[in-house]
Amino acid sequence: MRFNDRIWGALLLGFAIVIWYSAQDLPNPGDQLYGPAFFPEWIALALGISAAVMLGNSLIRGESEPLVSVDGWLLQPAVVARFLLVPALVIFYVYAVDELGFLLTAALVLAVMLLSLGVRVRVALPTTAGIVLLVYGIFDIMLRVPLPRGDLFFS
Amino acid sequence: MLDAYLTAIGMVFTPYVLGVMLLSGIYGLVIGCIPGLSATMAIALLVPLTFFMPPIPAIAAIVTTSAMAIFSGDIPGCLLRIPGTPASAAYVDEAYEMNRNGHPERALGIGLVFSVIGGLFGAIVLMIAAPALADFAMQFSTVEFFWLVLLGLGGAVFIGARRPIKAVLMLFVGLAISLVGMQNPAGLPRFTFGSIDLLSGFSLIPVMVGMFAVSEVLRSIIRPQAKAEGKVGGIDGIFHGMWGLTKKYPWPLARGSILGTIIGALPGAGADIAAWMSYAMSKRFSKEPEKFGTGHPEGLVEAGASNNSALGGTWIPALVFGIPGDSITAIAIGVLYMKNLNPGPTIFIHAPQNVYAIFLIFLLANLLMIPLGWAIIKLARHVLKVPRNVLMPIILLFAMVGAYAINNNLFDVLIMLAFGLFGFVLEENEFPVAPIILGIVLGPMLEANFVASMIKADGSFLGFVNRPIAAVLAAITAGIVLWSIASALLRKRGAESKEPLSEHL
Repeated sequence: MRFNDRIWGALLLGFAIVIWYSAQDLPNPGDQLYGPAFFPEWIALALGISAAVMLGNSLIRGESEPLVSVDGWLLQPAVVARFLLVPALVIFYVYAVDELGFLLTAALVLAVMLLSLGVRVRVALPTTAGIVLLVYGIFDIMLRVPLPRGDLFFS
Repeated sequence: MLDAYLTAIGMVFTPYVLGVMLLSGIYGLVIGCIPGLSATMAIALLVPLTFFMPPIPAIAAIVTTSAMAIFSGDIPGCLLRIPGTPASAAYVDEAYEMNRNGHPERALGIGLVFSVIGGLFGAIVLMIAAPALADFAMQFSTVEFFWLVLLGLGGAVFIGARRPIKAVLMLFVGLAISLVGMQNPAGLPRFTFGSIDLLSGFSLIPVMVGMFAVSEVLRSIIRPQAKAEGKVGGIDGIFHGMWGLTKKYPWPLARGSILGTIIGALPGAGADIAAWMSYAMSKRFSKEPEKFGTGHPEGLVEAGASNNSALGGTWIPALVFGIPGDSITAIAIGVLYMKNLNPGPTIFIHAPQNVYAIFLIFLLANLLMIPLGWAIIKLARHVLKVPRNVLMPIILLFAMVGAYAINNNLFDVLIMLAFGLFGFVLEENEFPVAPIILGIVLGPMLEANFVASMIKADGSFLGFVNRPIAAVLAAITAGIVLWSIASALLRKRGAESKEPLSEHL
């Protein structure tokens, strides 16, 4: 999905204004001359000016590009579903891993994604087992990262 | 200095460091060889592992991986006409033509041998230039550092960007992201939205794993693998005839190495721009420019040496000033800070053995490229068969665990996801993401030097330009910015007269 310069310019200009106004609310104990708001104000100013240039430029040129143009993949439900599965799996991992433990959660995430991308079960399952154990070996055993244990396994 | 070098040799030639270099060399070669996986992504996925290593092996892993990945990007370029990394894109057609003429071994041999020579050249320049520059930089105050950071950021957005305004915007977005947290001169939490997880700001590693790895996974889903052209057979006699080419093209080789190192040392421009410029230069100065594009070795020699010599060049400003030359060194600087090896001129005085160890690693990594590069060329046809739909889920898992491992915090995995989606949207809209990383890395440094200089100068901008070096740096920075704006305006006028609403701005 592509947005044209007008939308991006307006969006970033708005972002700059938000930074500017939130910077005004920052506390400044001891009344430092160049307190915590000083640098954010400069950034907001610079971002705002650049965004305004982009927006103004696009308006003056009378850009012919549509406000939003949609790529072909967004019209294919199967591709969109595969795409959305990625954030869904990451969020699932974050909220499930403490309950289910690393081994099970990671295996689920990996297997589901492999299968969704059309990898055959014959390949997907051994790959999942091998990679999950490899990651566990590298991070938990070698590097001693305490990967979540969960209640089902290794409790 | 000799003492420090002896200590450095003792630090590098240990089984641990050499083993790390061997493994990360293989890793870099494989990732670089697979189309769609860039050297930057290789580094982003590797950094969580280096977090657990002592400083020297951590740096060794990064240097070795990036050098190998940039060479091995030549392999799919030659065999399949798909560049493995952006740094190889400049001469893909030339190498592929050479393959079609029946000489894949020659194209790959040139890639390997002249990558090594260029890489060694860049490393030697780094060894000579960095300490000398550090000596000079000892006189710098916060004002000079303020201008240096600004120059670095300005160079990053104005040199080589297709639409500088987009790069500028991304730079300020990166700087805005760097505001989050309480690592500011005032020591107050800013923009944390009351979240404890954000008190120390966005951790760099989840952010860049998201931007460089997760966004790549997402992109691969909506753009299925390009159909590879050509068949890949066995390849023999890689080194045959290389000595002849060296004797035939000494000038292109020297020119490529020198230009590559210089472009690498410029802030913001790295191996990919070096390769494009060297290939173009080779064609312009060649006695037989008509042969370019038909499988002619001259441009390959020059550009192949150029992109690897750029690597040594990028480390000059990184080590001496703590200012990254490209996104790989931006990540490396983050690692140096984590390891308490804060880059800057003082590191050459307080810990010269560490710096010399990095130099030695550069030399060693390039020498290691000869046997490992030979092996990967032999194995290339198997590596190229690894299907992307198997690879991408594995990369996602490594990214999640890597982002988590830094602070053992699941919040970082969400940060990684958010920045992955953000990076994906930006790239789809042709916004470059590298300036964001530079902004995040350099933001705190820019603010600290800015505020300190403001206090010293008592709020007067005269204080920013009344020291000679500061004035020169300020003039260069202003020059780059004004020159880019002027050339953008001129180009626009030219474009309007010929083709209104041109998209080539």
